[in-house]
Amino acid sequence: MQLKPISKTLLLLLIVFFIGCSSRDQSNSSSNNYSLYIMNKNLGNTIVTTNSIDSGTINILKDGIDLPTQYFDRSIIVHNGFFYHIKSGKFIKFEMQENALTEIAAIPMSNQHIENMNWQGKDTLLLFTLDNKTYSKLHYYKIDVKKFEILQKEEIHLPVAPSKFPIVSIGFSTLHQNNLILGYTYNKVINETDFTTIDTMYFATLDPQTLKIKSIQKDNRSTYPGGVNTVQSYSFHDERGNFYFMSCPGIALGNNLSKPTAIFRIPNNTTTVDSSYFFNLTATNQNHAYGMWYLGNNEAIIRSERKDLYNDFSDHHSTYQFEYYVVDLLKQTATKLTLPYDKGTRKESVLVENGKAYITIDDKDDNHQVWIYNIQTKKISTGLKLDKETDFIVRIDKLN
Amino acid sequence: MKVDQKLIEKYHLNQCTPEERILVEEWLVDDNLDFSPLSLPQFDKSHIQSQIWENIAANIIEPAPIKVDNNRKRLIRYISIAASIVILFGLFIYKYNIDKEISYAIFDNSTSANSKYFEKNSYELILGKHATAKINVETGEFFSMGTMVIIPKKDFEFSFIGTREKKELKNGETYFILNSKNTGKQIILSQSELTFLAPTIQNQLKLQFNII
Repeated sequence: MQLKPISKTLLLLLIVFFIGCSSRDQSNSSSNNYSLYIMNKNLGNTIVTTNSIDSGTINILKDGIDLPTQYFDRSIIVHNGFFYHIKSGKFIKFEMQENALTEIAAIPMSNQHIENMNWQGKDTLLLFTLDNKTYSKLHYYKIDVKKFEILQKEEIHLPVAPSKFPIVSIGFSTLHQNNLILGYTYNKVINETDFTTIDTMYFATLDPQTLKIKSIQKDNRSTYPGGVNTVQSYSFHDERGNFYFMSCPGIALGNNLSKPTAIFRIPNNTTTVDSSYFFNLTATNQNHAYGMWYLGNNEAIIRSERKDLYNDFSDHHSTYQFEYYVVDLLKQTATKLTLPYDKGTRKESVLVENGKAYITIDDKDDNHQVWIYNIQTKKISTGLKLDKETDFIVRIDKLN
Repeated sequence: MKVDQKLIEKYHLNQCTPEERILVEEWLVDDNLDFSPLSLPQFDKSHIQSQIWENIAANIIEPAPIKVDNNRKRLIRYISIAASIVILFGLFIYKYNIDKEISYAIFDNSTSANSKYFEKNSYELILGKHATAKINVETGEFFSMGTMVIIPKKDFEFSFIGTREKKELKNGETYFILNSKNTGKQIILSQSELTFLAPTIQNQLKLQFNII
């Protein structure tokens, strides 16, 4: 059948169109399910998105999006197809377009940084920020992320800091029993490379509407409750509404080694920290840990350091030392998962979904991949692999 | 009456009648008058010429003959060669000193509580408060006290206290060099790696070096 020239042209266009469209499936898209944030060996940062973390290989420089390190870091917030980050006096909403994260909206937020973020439903984000100068002035923002505007802004007037410990660290925020509970503590700088934390954990109960402080509790069984949760997770609610959080006095966060790393609980029917619940992880593992993720059914994963493998804070992030344990919150036991040692001081390296824990590990053989722990069968297998241009996988997030 | 040779002679001998004198003087000033050249036999002309020349020649002072001083010439040549060598050598030493200055440098901010910025040919350096540094880009020696930031303008290899291997610093990257007062070790972190430090220390660095 002889085609007229115009039909040939149209057919050619049609073919090109389909080829062009079909190849889009594999490349980066904001409609993909998962997002990983990588620190590259070439000192840059990359973000990759994918529909599968159960298998496959990704070449980060070829398949990923380069993120200039002057504008981005791993404290980026990933949620519902969009990315959020505070930089240069603005809180910015980004979308993945072509081969870049493109700014689509911004809220002025100058001279402060995010200590804690808290999603209330799909479209409401609570932010707790401290000023960049004294690290002691606390602000609360309630943001509608769809319209991208501030619904409420309040200064939270914490009591005057104890003498010699002028710096505030916010570790968790939770809406619990119709109250807003903030976990926090105070630090002091000893010299340019040394600091420590006061011997006490503080908990403020606030009115969730007015942000006025109703009461403050202190607990000195440990210190440094929670941590900066834009970097890593340290707390959660279980199925019954009990709130669990981890304390982090280890060198990577609180640097007060007189206290143990432990898990604490605020029961579902009160706003007071349970004085009878004290899961002392350091007593169990002889080490400090940073990071905790809920698996369901009173089980959680924690990420623990090995003090016999590193020297001090200078090699803490580069030493292959981190181990993952499954802890039983009620029986207070910890079982080590058979995985290679991981590196990188703090990472959002665990994603729990569909009965599995997806754990990203950068091991000493220069493998950078997802390990899959089946919560039911307790079996471990490998999943998605990233290539050797990767130095650290510092985030694995659900994007959609 | 025509103005001729005879009349002109008479004029010069002051033997002219008043009319004759006027005639000659008119003739002298008049530019338009046709003047037929005085005819002289050729022999007389050349004879007169040589007579005139002889009279002049007797009064000419002969210039001294130009002496060709070979020794002087040679000496000047040697001196100029020597001078060029000295100048070139001087320039070479000057340039070497400048280069030496660049490859080994001492930076002192020990008395100041503020950061101080330095720019060299091959790197930028920001010393934190009370910090000092001694950097030799040739040998790779990097001695530091206090906290500082270095941004190389080319790839370097430096040896730092506490690590046996030389550390490679790349052109265009920002590196933070910290001194642990507890261990005495130097810690080198790229800007990206700062994120692994405890938040309290990160914040102090951001404050001191004005990183937002």
